[in-house]
Amino acid sequence: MAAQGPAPSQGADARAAVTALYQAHAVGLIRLAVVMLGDRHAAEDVVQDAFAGLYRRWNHLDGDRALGYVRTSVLNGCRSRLRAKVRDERLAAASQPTLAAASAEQAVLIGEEHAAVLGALRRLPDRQREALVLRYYLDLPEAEIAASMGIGKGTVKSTTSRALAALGRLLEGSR
Amino acid sequence: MNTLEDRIRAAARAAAGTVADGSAPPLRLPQRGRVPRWPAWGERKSMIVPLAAAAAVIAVVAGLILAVGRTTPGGTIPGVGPPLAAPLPLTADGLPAYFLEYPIAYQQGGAQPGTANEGSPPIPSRFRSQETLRIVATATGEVAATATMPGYVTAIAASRGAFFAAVVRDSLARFYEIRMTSSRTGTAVTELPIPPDTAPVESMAASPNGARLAYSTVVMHSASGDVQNLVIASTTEDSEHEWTTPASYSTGSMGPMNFLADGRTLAFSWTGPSETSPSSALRLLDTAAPGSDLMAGRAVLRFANEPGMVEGYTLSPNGRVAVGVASGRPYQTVVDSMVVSSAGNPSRKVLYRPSEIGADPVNSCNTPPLWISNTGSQVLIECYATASPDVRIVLINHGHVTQLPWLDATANEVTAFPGITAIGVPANADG
Repeated sequence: MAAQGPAPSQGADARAAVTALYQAHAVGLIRLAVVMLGDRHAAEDVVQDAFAGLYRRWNHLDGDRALGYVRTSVLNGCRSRLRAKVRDERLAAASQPTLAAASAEQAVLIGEEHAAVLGALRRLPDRQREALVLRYYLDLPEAEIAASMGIGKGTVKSTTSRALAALGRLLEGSR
Repeated sequence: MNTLEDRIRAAARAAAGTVADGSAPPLRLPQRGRVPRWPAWGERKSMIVPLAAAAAVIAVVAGLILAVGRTTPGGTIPGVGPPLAAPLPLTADGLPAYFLEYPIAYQQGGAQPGTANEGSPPIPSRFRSQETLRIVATATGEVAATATMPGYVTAIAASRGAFFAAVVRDSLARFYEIRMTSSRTGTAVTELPIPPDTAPVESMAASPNGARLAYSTVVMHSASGDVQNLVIASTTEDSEHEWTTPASYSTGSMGPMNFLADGRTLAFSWTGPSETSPSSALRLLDTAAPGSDLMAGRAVLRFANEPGMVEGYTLSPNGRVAVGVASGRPYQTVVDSMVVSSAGNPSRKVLYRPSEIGADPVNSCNTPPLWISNTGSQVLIECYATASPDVRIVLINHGHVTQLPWLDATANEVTAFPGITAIGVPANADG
């Protein structure tokens, strides 16, 4: 995930460049979105949308910003999806328990322990969830987490700390 | 071992492990459309389909665009007043009877008729000495008149009575008015007294009476950030005012724009670092107020609204209603009606929600709509036919969809409808 995409340049074939970036990083970003969402289909959609957004803004971006831009877009997309899911679930709890269904499906695939951790992770506030995933799944340095989340490095540290505490409480509470 | 951090790592990796190497689906990029990307000087502007692959919800925001412009004491606003050209007629259905069309097909298919011999390679647009715009009759889809422009076209617009084009010739953007003759079979093309601009024109809009033309230039990259200029010029005299991006907004850019009915307030789309950024919104700028801060106005409608991301709106000719297309997965989305105060908070309702399958003739729509009525109850829009890659022009009338097959040839073109903002002209492959 640390590799950078080809440098956008005036006159470059944006479609080819974005496609190349997609081929190099799509699976990694889908995995990131799956960790966030627990839903492969939604994860693929989020990544597709992120690359479409990158394509639209291609000539806006410096070469070394392309991957960062699309990763931030994936985070934003996951955030929107999770909020929409929560809203849907609240409004149609009886008929479409989407989160519960996704969690059940995932539990089968990855086991109860992991499903419990991921379930608790997804109950955290957006910023806390993203900080933990970027830190402990992608192993990004603080500076890169800060850039991806649009926050300061100091905030990354404090957010991560609070997120760990909150996650611990959630997991304790679920026992 | 088995600290909380380790548990997070293990769980995340287990979830990620469900995605096999090489299992990413093919990338679907937009094919064409109306959201600009950023060309180099000398290249044609580029417009990309924003939501070609996305499902869509049409949302109406009513009561949003209040006339924030007020007449300057003792002054006159050139955008207000009787039209400089007689308003173009309407069809029996109330749609504008004519619209201006920039034929992308010429671009993609090669040179325009008359500019190259058959079989010769396409002429890159930036080397073209002329391009032809078409004025199409809405009721029949027939080309009523054409206008040959002395250079290559980068943006088009329409007032209620005339059309406008930004044309690059000798590396300068020049501005032209196109009026239909009284017989509606010909055109008169006049260069406007607007100083030629050395910067490429991104998008353009005309005031309802045609007395003012607003245009944005492409984003210029500088050491202190990106800069984009907005110019509003009189179409009758050498008079213009320029706004520019403040440093604090240097990572954003303007999108399509149009004047409200007062001819003074300019509405434009602003996209910040991303579509979900708080600053990404439809904004209003009082163009009669002093200053040159492009962001001096106010945001009235964020893109990141529910029920989905709305990347662009079309404003009604009276500026009171905005219609956009919300992307995402509307089939799974519970659509809320947002009712908010008049301080920039719109009431919102879904006009139409395409079905992915079934008897519905369309399954997704492009944004922004081509034209909407003053109430937003009528929307002319490009949509994708169910189980077909073809783009159709449809009229959504009080939620009911009617296909207008005679306009299908327009589905891949750039259009400017009287009273509606015009957008840029798409890139050609040779750019």
